[in-house]
Amino acid sequence: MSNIKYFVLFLFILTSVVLNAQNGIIRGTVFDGVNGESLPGVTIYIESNAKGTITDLDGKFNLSVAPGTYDVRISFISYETVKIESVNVKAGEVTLLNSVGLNEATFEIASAVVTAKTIRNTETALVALKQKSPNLFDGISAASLRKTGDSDAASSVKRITGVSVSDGKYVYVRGLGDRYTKTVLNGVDIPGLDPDRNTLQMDIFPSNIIDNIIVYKSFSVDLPADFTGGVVDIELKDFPEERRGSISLSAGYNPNFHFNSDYLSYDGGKTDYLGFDDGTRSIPATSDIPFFSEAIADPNGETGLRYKEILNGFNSTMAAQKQTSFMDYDFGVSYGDQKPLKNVTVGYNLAFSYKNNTEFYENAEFGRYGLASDPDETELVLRAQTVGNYGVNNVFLSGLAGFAIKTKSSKFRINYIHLQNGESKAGIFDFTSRDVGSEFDAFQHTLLYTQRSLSNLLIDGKHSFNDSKWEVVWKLSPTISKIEDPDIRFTRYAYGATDLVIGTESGFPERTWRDLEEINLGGVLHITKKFKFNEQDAKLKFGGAYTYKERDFTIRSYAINVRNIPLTGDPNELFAEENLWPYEDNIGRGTTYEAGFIPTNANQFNARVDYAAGYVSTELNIIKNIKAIVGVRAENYVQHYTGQDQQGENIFENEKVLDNLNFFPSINLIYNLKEKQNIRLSYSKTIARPSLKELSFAQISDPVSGITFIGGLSDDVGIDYEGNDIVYWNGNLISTDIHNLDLRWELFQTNGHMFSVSGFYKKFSNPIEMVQFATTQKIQIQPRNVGDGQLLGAELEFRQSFEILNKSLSNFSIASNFTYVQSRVKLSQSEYDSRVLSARTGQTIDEYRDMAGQSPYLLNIGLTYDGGTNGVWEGLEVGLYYNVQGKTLQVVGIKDRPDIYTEPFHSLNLNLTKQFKKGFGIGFKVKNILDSKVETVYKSYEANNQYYEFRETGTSYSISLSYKF
Amino acid sequence: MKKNYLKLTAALFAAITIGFTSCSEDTTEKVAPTVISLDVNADNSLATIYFSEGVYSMNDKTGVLTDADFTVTLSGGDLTLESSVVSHTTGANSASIALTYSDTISDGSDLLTVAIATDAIFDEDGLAVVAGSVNDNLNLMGTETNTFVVSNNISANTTWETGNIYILAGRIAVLDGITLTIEPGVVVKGQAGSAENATALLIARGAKLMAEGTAAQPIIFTSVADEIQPGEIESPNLDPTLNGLWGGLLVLGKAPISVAGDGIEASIEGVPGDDNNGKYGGTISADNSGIIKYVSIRHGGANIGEGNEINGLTLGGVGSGTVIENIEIIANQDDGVEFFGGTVNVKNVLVWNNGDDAIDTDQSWGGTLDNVIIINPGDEAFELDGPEGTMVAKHTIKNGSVFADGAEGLVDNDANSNVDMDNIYFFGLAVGQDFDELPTTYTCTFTDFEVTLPAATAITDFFKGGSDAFVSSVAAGANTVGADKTQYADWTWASEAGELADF
Repeated sequence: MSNIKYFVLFLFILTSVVLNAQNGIIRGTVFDGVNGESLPGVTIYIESNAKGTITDLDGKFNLSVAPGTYDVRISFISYETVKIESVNVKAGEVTLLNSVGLNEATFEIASAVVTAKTIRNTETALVALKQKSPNLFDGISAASLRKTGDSDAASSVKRITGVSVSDGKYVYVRGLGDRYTKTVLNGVDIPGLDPDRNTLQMDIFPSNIIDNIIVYKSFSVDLPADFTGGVVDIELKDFPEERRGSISLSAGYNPNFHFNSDYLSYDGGKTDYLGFDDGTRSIPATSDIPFFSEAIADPNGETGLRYKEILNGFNSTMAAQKQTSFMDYDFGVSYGDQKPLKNVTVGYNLAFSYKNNTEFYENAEFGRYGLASDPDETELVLRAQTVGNYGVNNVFLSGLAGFAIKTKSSKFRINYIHLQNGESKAGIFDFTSRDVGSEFDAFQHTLLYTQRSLSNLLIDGKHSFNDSKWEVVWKLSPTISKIEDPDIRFTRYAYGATDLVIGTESGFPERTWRDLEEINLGGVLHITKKFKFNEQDAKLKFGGAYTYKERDFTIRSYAINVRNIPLTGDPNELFAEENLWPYEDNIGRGTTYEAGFIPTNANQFNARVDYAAGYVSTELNIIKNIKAIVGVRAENYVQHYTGQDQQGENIFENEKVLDNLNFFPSINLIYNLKEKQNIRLSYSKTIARPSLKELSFAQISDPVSGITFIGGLSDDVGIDYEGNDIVYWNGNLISTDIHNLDLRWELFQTNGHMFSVSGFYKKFSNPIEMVQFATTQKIQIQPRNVGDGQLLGAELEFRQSFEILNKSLSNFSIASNFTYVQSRVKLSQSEYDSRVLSARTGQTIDEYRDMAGQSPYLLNIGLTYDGGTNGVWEGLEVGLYYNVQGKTLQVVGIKDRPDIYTEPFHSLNLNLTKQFKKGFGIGFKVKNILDSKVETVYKSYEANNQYYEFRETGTSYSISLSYKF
Repeated sequence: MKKNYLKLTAALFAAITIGFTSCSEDTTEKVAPTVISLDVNADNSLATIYFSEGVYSMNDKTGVLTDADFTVTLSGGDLTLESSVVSHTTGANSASIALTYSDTISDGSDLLTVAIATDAIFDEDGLAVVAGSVNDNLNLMGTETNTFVVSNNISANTTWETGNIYILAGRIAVLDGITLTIEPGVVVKGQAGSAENATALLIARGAKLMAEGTAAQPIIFTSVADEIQPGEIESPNLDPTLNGLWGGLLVLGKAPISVAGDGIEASIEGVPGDDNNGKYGGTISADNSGIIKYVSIRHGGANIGEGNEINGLTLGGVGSGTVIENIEIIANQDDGVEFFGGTVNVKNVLVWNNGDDAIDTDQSWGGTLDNVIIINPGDEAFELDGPEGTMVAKHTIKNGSVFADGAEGLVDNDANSNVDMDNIYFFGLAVGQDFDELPTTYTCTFTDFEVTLPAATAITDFFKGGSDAFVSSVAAGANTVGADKTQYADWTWASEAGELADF
């Protein structure tokens, strides 16, 4: 067997469309059975009519033949030849073809016969890739996306082993928080869309532009080294295999949300339905803003007039209003084709999608609880509670346009996407304050609008030279992303003894504008040289990457004062013409504003990063059946920051806050135990760097979250009982080094059936956590290096058809994955001291706790039925999917503020699709069949849990229609 | 436009030149010399007097001019002339006068006048200079101001002097170990701004404020919008209801506090946690943050960050070694005086037209407030809260008078409030205002309350939860308990405005 290559070949040939009335087309891809990579230069030959072609640099081929039944021979030098029998090509009809029955090769017989069999499951392709990949990865394909009925990347990515999603958009890999999860688009860096997080918000990517999502779990040196949990790579649609056109429409109904006359909304702009604001919410002034105390000195002069002009410039809507809600609906269209020209093949893809979702939460509850002052009392004490209704309307709009051109040895691609999302929220809540010294009841109106957009251009190329011994891949990818919250409006009326009061106790109304803009210019170059080592295939890979990114962030907030005007309780009265300052010509009365962001705005920064990397690695069989991939990556990372603290004592003007050159080694070993069985072992060193704003003296107070962010460079010094200084934090924030160890045993069977067990261990030196200040009354957080952390976990995944039980059940299959993680991190000094001080009687405080954001377990189970290609159930696919993640530490408590945990959400969804001949399809989907509720709770020693957040999403139903052409 | 202007200038020069030429042609007749002008040089050190021709002190073409030939005086401004010395060369047509003054500052309004006596100065023909005087204004010299802008934290011992106005350009901290002395009569004005741009004076833990005003010369904290000058009590332009125009005065010390979670220190509201100047609390009960006497704080209470409006006078962990007496708070947007723990004793406090509670106690303040007048608070007259942590201390409030007016309530206790109150008088009540409950967690003593009730109401309408037991009703002005208003006479705006007439 020694010199024999296992043969194989993985081929999938999708529907073929006949270009003229006489001919049909056979298309497919040929993979190397050893390393799972596509094989260029393979000969495809039909013996009966002597027609043939060779695969291009992606291993793809394209063969036009007259209708009939053929045997296709696939051969390549030094590989065994495969013959696929009975490939049926029909004129003007879709011909569904597939391999892959893999025939074991023998020393003598250099030929394998594969019988054509229909398949529409490209998940099999992913499984095959997984088997052969030098990296440890998991993924989800476009076919799976369709099966599960997930409409965006965020809901589908959580089906991948070890992946969880929080808030419906943030991805966590193996339970590690977003600091340790990186998202890339087509393998190139993209900016995030959140001021406080590193990862990209995934809900903005609609399914119809995604080809697949892959999560790399072990580091290899061609990936960026700021990698710990994993890298999530979203691959957009590539070169189409054939002409693909589709139109889809769907409508969704949730009895809780839709056609509800209590739904809350507010008057927005004329373009809200397109996902952006038309200027209705624009800020009245960003400069030349007089103070109120200047205006009263000159009420009728230039200053006073300017002050009044700004007051009049505010949109006068402050109230949420009842309005009947409409149902969810979406619409998508895509079209792609390729056309073989004389020497080249050109292909293009166009996709557009529109989605309009409405949610309405009645009696949603948000609470704030604290520890009692008496340490004998374990029950939590209510500090404040907000209960009420709110409506959310989301509009997602996206477009993709791609063009590719391919020769035998080169491929060029240019791809542009724009994603747009507008979210409008309005709520009316009852507010109860039970803070010591501030006990009152009130009601409030909150109006929010968030607009996100991302535009990305990808230009890439792939070239092979010298009989495919050399391969060069390059990518250039500029991206602009924006997230804006224009005019967040908040009004709270407290119930006074006999009247309604807006004052310092209830808090003054606020209007806030928050903007984040990031540009990102990324490029990568990968060069691969194939060679022989010990007479076996080996590879040398080297390359580099460069990223420049720059982020601008600004918050501007106007505090609104209501000076002695009669209040009726309708928030719209605040900006009613007659109530604006000066009310009844009295300069001491009327609605006034104070702009806290002038003359200097501490709530803004600019940060930029220059990142350059180079790597080299080799992939070879050191001994028989053991493949080693060994490499090293060097990264030079330079970060600049412009911004200041509130008092202007520390001002950074384009200050270089980080300039490091680091080396990251990686070793991956694959032991090919038996055919279709691998044991993988990998070790790597990676890094987690402070984010853009963390290396600063920033004191950014965010009125949206109510949290003040303190940059990691300022220290925190307190005093102890003797009056001596205690240094809680020294202001020296450094990057985290992570050592990663992974072990996996995997077994692959035919038709994508597989089974794998993995174990992983990670050690963090100086992990960065957001630590709350123990001395402040409101939440203020600072990134600090805390004590070392460790993480130990196991993953189990399988995919199996029920035919092993009974042949007749071959259409039923189950796919499941389970991840269990145990993590611990040493408490920071301030957190430990604070926990000891506020401990309940009898409670012991550990020096370690779970890492924040880490789920102790994740479970996915999917049961599917595939009706096959003929018979009564032809074209029917039914799937029942269950997903849950364990109780997760969401916010780390301090002082009298208890820890906050997300409770498991048992999600059970049903998805049914039926494809008819002639391209029509229908679908039916039920979401949240178990009627699970969103519950986030405070947990404390021997106390009943109390709600931090509670809301009911109800069960939603949707139907869809599609037409493929 | 520019060309026309140049042409005009040229024409003027020509005319002047012709004029001079024709004058000199007329000297065939002997004319008595005249004084042409007086010029003061740039730094006012030298004045030069010009004559129409060369001059002598004698009529025989001899003698230099001396001091005796002139009378030099200064008028119209604050400066006085200390000396003037004339120098002259025989026969020269000008003489210079060296000048020295009492000060180095002139606002340009000082007028230097040089008078010439009859028959004192002669030309070469023996004709005497016509008697008379000539004058010139002094140039601006030094900075004519009593206003100083303070834009950095105070990191060395500093004195703010009587007669001056100090402008706070930000949240100014007096740093640990440093003493700021404010002399009587000083006016401190906070610039406009809110949130992190709000202005305030913060006495950090370990720093001292020595602000010893007097009844004759109180120290005033107000907004830049206030046109008040040192020496004035009432604002010439702002109503005593305008609030939130600047921050306030914060004094932080090392005395014990009782906070949730039981730390020994806390960060004062609105100051970021990493700003060590904002921390207060500790273990030193007798801590001394200085002396604050005869201080009036007005129009403050702006949001100083995180949506926290600030109190007129914030006392965080202030120790009993500190002296605080005779304080007036007017039109503060938030509380008048708020105590966050600490042990300091405070005497003679007047709170008028504040937006929230007049007197607010938190975190187990353990001192005594003696003699307090409250007029028209926005929320409660007294908001009295108990410990937040396990440290427990009791405070005492005695001898108070409250004109409730627009207040939401009179006394707001919690079950765990820990306070003794004695000799308090309430009047000007409206339905809805109340003394809400009696504390139950700790033993508290309430004695000798008096109230003047509105018509057709009963004590129990206002004093709830059994608190009517220690209250007696009196006719307006017939109270036998309450504040001693003589402590506020003359130096408070409330007194000057007649607000204390009914007390």
